[in-house]
Amino acid sequence: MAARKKKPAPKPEEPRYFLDDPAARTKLLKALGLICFLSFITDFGFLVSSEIDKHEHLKWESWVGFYGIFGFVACIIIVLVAKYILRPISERKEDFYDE
Amino acid sequence: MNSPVPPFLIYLIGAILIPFLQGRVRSVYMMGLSLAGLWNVLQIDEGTHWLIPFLDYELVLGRADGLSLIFSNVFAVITPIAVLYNLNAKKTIEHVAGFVYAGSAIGVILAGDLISLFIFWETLTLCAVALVLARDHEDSRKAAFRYLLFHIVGGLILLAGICLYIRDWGTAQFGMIGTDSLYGKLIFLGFGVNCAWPLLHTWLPDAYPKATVGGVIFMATFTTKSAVYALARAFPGEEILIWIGGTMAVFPILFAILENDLRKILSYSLINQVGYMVVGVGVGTSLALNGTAAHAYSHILYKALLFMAMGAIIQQTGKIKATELGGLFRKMPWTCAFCIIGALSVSAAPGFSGFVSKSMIMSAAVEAGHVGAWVALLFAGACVMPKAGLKLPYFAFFGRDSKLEATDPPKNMLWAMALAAAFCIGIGCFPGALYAHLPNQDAHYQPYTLSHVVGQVQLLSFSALAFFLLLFAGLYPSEKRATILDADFFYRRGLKQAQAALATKLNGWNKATYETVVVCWIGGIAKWSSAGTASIAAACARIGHRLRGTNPDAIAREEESRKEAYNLGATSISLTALMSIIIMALLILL
Repeated sequence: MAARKKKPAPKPEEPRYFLDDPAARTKLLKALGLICFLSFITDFGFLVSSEIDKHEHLKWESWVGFYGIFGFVACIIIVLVAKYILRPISERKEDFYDE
Repeated sequence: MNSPVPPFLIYLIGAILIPFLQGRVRSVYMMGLSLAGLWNVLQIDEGTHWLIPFLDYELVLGRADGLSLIFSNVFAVITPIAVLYNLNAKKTIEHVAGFVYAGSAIGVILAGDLISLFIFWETLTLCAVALVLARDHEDSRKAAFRYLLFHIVGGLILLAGICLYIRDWGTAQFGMIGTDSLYGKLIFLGFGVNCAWPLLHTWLPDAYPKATVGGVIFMATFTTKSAVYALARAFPGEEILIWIGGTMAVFPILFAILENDLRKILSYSLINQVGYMVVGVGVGTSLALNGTAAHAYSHILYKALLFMAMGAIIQQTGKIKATELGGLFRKMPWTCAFCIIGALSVSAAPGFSGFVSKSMIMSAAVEAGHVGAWVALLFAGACVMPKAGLKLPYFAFFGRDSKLEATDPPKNMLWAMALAAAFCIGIGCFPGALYAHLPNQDAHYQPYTLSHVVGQVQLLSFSALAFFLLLFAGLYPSEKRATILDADFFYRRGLKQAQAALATKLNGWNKATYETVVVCWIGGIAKWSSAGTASIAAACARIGHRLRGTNPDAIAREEESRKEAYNLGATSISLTALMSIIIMALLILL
């Protein structure tokens, strides 16, 4: 865990040396947070202006930030399930089948 | 005007010449051949072509309609790209297998009867095995053997279904089949093996990471997608496919998150993407089948692109495990850029190919009232970030610097990736060109609505945010050298142990039976038939001698020669002959 924290965080769009910068992690998260925030705000726009056709099929889709919250929670669930349920069950030595 | 030649012939006959050519001539020939194949496929008109009478049936080598044309089109488009990428491969067998693979895959798509479908279907398996074997590695040989066994079983199930179908209907015509009958179930299952359904999927992540760098592009394109086509042709609207597809879309993500081998991650991701298509077939409406075809088209191109990028890494560094890679973006900038385009496409980011096809299947599912399937696909769509969308580029090109010496791959490989990337962006930005060729032109779909774009950006950006938060918090499973057991455990380990268990149980029986029957009974009979019969004869002779009062020396001499004569085993042979005669007589009489 400690080793991982020392790693510089990468971001594809930035100049190459950006990735070696230890402060990059915060920058990356800020940039990502900005995209999240903007897309979230747009949802409020839909709420205010009823003129935009949302093409929704389900009532959940009209909830503000439905997709964002769904994406966030889904990602966390799947990663934690993989780590804490599947890994203990099915992880073996690398040469498991070679013996 | 319709093309005069069935497409598979061009690839198959063209492939025969490849071993006789070398160097630049071979490269030019192969590129020309794959482009000729593409041109030929583009010339096919709708309708039924190339009918050949065979026994009492009719082989239809060209059933061309909307559904088969779009699939054969993408197969023919990807072939020149894969061939271009693979030009440097030294082994001739790889090139030949690639062309035969492409030809028979297009053969499957255009087959209008089950007999030619089956022949092409099995050829796919042989080509895939050749492409795994061509890697020339102990692991690959074993995986190729497992692949072959798995697909032979699947092929036999399919064959059984086809035989029953022909017996019941008296025709081999390939069309809507349905799962009500036994033959329908068998054919369904046979297709399912190639489609990598849950529990039948293990051959895929087992063999694909062990294939050659270029060969895997053919494999990742043809086998599963021709199975998707076959399902769409024979079982559209089969409700169970929604469940199967939904499961396929979700469970591989867990394995992809834990896997260390980047090509294995892509293999699981492939199953997950094929899951979308299977759901589309299960929903079975015009829009859903359009979505399946569109997603197959865009999926083939971005998956090929991702496999090409990973192949470039293997070729340039000799490594493919996340634990051994990282920080390659400086050394392989073009490969990195193409990989990111592929990753954005698989993630269905707006402007990339996945965006315009994945959502079509989801819309079709929810319009047909399958909300559960919609949620499963949305979940899978959100989880693409930790699985492939971010994981692949992150661990290969960014992350911890592996300090590997590497450069971008040769120009032909870069151009192949560039072409595939251009298709990914082209389809994403101008979906109309793809939509115009979809099978059901009555179904309309508009991917670029404001709400869809915003919803998708939200889904992906929040998922990416979660990925990075988990990564920085140390909660994302760290890359680790390990084997993650999948269902193939049951035959790779289970069958081995079953064999060992059976051996301990049955070897005792074996030994006891051997000792009783072979040593005791047969040995007894043999002994009796030489020594036993000899002593009977001797006893009889002694009585004669006693009655006649023969000279004892003569008796001793005679006994000696008799012993030798009986040791020849003439008695046992004559006994066997006698028994055989009795048995034959009984057989004739009864």
